[in-house]
Amino acid sequence: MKINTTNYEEYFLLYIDNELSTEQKTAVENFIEANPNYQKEFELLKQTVFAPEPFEFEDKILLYRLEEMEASLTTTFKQSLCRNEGKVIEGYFNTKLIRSIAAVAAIVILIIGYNLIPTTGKQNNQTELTKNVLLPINNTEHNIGVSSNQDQKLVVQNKIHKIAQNSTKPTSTLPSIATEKTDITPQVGMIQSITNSTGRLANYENEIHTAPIVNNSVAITSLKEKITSNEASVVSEAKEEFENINTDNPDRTIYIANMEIDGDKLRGFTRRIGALIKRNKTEKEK
Amino acid sequence: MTDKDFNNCVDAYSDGVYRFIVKNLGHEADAQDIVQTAFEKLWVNRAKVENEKAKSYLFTIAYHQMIDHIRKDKRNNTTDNFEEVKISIHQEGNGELKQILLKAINELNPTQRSLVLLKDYEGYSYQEIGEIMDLSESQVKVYLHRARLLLKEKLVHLEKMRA
Repeated sequence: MKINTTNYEEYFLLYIDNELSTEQKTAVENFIEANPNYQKEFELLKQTVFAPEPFEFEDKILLYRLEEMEASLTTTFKQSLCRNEGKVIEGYFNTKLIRSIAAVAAIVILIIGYNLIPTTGKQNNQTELTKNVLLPINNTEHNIGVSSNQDQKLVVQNKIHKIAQNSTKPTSTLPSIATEKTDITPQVGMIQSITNSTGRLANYENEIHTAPIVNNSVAITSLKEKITSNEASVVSEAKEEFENINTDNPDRTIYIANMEIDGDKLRGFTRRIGALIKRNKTEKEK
Repeated sequence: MTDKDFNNCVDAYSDGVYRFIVKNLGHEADAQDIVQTAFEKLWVNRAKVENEKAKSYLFTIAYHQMIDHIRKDKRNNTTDNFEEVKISIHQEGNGELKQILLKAINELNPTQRSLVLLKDYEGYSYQEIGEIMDLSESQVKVYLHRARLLLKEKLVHLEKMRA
């Protein structure tokens, strides 16, 4: 293909785009030498070529692929990271039935502890007054059966004297004594009954002494039986009174093994349980 | 392509791809994103891409990414992009002739601008440019010649202004 005035532009463009062979390039250069008026146009087209300028992509680190970036975990290690949720097992005391049984057992233990310990506690904490009342009467009962009638008389008199002394104690010493004093008033009544009985006892004795010297053993024994029956009634009366006195005892400490519990704080609770037990007992008796 | 070949490609072609894109877009951050995407795709397809074809593969991916980016940008605001291109290229120019040429290339459409840049900066043949830009060799020739003549007219106009 020969370069002429009609196709020179395409050859010029191909020339600056470096799309021509060496021979074609020489042909173009020869055409320009032969036609210098096309020189200027050729130069203008050459100026449209952009010279490559240095340019740098600074963040090459973002493009590199390093071995550490491609590191992957082995399947065995991945499996070791897995976690399975275990089954939730209900605790032994979780069910309502077992809880209720445990509660009932606790109440039963408390009741048993309360019924066992207070008897010794009450005995230990008895006041001197009740001791004075109880012991001589027991002694009289014993003495009546064994010793002579005169001895019985003396013992009863002593007892009465002691009770009288206790009853005349000043009320200002202790508040507990005040309560004792109030408790004593029915006791004094009781003592009067005792004195009455001893009076009768003296009458019996007089009968014995004034009776004819007939050793009627039957008569004596009948009299003694009368005395014993009389004294037994007196003792039963005294016992009843004693029980009444003890109900107002302020010390209500409960001992369960080595543990000491203040009974006053559990007073309401123990009363209720006691009432329940009594109710059950009465029902059973019925 | 091995991992080492890939890293060699980063050293050899990342600057050229970036220059091609940033000269087209005039926006450095967008150009960096496009370059990263291109190399990411090369890494994913490294088993399929031969080492000798890596450069054209990178330019092909980058060019299509850029066209997509331009299309998305046109929907929003085209004028801003033009201003950015002008600014970035004005800063790099030195000399009156070069400034006029840079101004003239900004007035070309992206296809013509890409043709000029691929031809002048990277020295690709018409055939290679056709492969990158998904054009035939004759189309590359026609479009590129048209772009050259436009640039020449700008220079003629400048000559007339001087005279």
